[in-house]
Amino acid sequence: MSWLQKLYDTYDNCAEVLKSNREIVDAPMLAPVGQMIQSVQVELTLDAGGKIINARVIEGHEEQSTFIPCTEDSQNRTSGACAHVLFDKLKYMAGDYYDYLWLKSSEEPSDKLRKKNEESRQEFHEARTLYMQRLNELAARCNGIVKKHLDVIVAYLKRNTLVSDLIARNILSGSIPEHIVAVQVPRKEIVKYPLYNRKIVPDVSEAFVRICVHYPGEVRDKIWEVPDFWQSYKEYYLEKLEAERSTDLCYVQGREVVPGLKHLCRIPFTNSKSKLISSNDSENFTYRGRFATSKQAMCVGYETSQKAFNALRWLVQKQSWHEKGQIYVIWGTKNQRIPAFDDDSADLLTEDPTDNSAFDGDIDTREGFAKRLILVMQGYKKELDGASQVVVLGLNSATDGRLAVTYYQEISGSDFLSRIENWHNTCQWLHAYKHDKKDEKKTHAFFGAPAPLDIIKAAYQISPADPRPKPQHPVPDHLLHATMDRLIPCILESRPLPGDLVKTLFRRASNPAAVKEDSDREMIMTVTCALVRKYYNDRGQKEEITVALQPDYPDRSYQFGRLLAYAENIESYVNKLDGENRQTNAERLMHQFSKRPMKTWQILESQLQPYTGKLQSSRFGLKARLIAEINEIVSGLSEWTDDLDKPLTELFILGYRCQLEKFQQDMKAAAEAKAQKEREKKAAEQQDSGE
Amino acid sequence: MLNRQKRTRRRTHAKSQQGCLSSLGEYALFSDPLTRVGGEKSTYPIPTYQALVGITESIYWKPTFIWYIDRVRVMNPIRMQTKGVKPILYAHGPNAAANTLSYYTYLYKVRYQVEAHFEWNPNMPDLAPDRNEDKHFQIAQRMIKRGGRRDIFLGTRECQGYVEPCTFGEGRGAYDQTPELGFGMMYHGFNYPSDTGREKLELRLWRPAMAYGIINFMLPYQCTEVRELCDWEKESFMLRRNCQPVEDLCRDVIQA
Repeated sequence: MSWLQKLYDTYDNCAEVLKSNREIVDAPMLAPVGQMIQSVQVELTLDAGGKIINARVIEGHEEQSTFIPCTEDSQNRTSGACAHVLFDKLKYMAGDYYDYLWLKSSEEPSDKLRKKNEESRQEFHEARTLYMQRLNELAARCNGIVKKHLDVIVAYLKRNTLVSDLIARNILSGSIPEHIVAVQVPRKEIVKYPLYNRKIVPDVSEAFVRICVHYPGEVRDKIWEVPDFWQSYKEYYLEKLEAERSTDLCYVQGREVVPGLKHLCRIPFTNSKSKLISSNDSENFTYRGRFATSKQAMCVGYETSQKAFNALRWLVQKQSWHEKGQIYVIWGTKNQRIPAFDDDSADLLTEDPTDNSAFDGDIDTREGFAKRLILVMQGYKKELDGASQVVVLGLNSATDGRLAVTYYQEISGSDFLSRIENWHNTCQWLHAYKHDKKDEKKTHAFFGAPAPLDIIKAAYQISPADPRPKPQHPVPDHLLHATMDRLIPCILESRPLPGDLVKTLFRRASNPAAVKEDSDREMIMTVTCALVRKYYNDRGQKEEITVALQPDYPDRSYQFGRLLAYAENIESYVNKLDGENRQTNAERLMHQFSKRPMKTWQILESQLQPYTGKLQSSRFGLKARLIAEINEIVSGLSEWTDDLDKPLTELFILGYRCQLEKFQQDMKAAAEAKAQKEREKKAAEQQDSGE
Repeated sequence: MLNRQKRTRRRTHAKSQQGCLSSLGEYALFSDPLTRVGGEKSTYPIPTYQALVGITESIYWKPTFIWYIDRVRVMNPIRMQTKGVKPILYAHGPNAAANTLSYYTYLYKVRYQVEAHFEWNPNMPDLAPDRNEDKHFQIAQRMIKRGGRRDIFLGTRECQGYVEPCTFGEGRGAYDQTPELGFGMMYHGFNYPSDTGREKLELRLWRPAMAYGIINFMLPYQCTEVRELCDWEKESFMLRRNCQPVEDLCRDVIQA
């Protein structure tokens, strides 16, 4: 099905959400048909008689968001004068805006300015006349409490006293009239008049006003939150459109409806004007050619367009992934709870984003991870079954103003869950780079799949090896977007990973000397391991590669990786004994080793001599064991018939990493055994002394 | 996949024969009209009827008959790929950029098996003497083998495609096990005056569904959702006035 149809259906399925808008603080709002969400900075409260009870500046962003009814033209207005229907900027709502501004001005304006002012005054006067006329019509058509509210508002606006009232109520500063359009205002004025704070509104004349009407005994005084009002306005506006336009065949619905001519902009974020359906290029050949006008080229109903795009905007705010203009939004058509595709396993398994408790558990072991993943997935499965549907929509814009659909996929709910589960189950490794939710400097270990963004960063983000303090080079936008576009099908369609990405990661991981930060090196290493393992397993190896070490894994690169890990281990062990902290030869020569393993091993082996010598003086047994194991690997390798010195494959990293992890585990186990022994010894001694 | 083309069945309601072809390409863009007007073309997941008619007409076409597409089988998984493009602005100010930037979304690595037949065009009575079924069928068949008379493209001009003869239903398709997939309201094709006899350009919509990888097309005259777009003049073809019968050409060549 088409994405517009799916969005339209989602809107209809979410009627409940529409009613409960605002009940949850800070939740994105789903706008009704014909309404848009606008930040409003000034609130006026009238009583039933039209007298002002209160006027205030709204500062909280959350409180500022208001549904305001609008027309197709006003919703897409740019610089021309075109009023919304009920609430708008001062210059539309206040009849005395222009009078006030210039009559009280202390300085005599120049002729040029006067002429310009006169023109714009004329333009806005016309816009306001239309605005008042429309408001009258709307009020006449409504009934019940909505009508009572509108009547009071209309009567008030007819008095043309808004600006003077706001000055009287100390919202606008009347002392210097130019302030009404002033951009720069003295600091002490801002303290007295918060509306002049540019963080609230860039220019006072741009401030939006909303009007509450308070009836005694009535709780609801905000008309824009009344569903009856939304319905009345929708009916009013549709009737008006029907009178203006003949019905046409809607390409989404397939039936005759009132067509929409201008479609919703500002989809991704409220400040961008990009549109998914735009048709304003009347000079070039986007639709011209076979068609003469954009109306001929396509037709989408007004209501369809409104519902679909309001739903899209709501979904994008609620649950989308966006990075540098690229958007992926994934949703269940019945607004079900779905797991985020862009999470790493740690985030997937901890439902509360501020919760750290998961890291105290066994999330960093394979068993703990598996158990938890099943539990979490079961939670999602309650809502998402085979009959439900999940839609994936990718959006991106090459230029301001237009948005392109770059990816579209419909997946059944159960398929979606099993693919997400599959991703986390196959692309796993033990990572250690997860930042603490509260303390950025602290990191945690977790088992599972890395987040797509972390994969991209590991592959392409350059952390300079240069010692000078320099910010990290971010991944270039186009590379980020293109890689994301290729990773999405790997997660959501279970496609094989792109080979070049795995190779890039491998090159970075096998060249640790080029990465400055230890933490970055660690992250690149584990992310590479996760991806290499998935890449090789997906290609159908004879023997599946596990996360744990496989000493007998029949692969030259894997075994060479183990060999390097031994060299690394011996060297860093001796360094530690000596209290030194420097890069080991193994790390330095790793890149060389991955290209010409046999030759580099000869160099490494000779460089290893002094270290093994030191090992002898401290731990004789350990040395014998390690050398025996190295010899075992080397003899195993010499049985290889291929050219031993040819470059290693990505499996090298896996062998290296697995062997290192094994050493760490062994060390931990040995330390624990030692501690246990000592405890036992102490207990025995205590017992002895006790007796 | 070069198979001998098979004559499957004769249709009774009009003189026609059915042919099969396999059409493939690296990219395809069957653009959704909703995204096309803005310039950010995005593809439908499946080929449109009109695009397939275009392919058959590129293979072989004469005004004597109209190609009808019976069904299409989607062989490869539906995959999309986005490319950044720089469309040229033909009308731009002296100081403005000569091109804009867009994202086009293409289908990637496509392969379709198409079954089509032709019927005589009732709106071309002047060409009645040319209604030689076997002649046209044989030429069409040969043209499929040769990859078409004109070059083939999949939906949009930049998506070069190729055709080969095949047997419909042969080989393994990616959706052979998928019971039913709906695609919602979709563009079907245009009604040109030469096909309908009405001096209007009309647009057809329909709701395709794919079952086990196969989409059975509604034929143009069966579509109910039709939108009139504009007036359009009918072309006229008169035998021996503005088109030459192949028999004449043959005689000319032999006599010469």
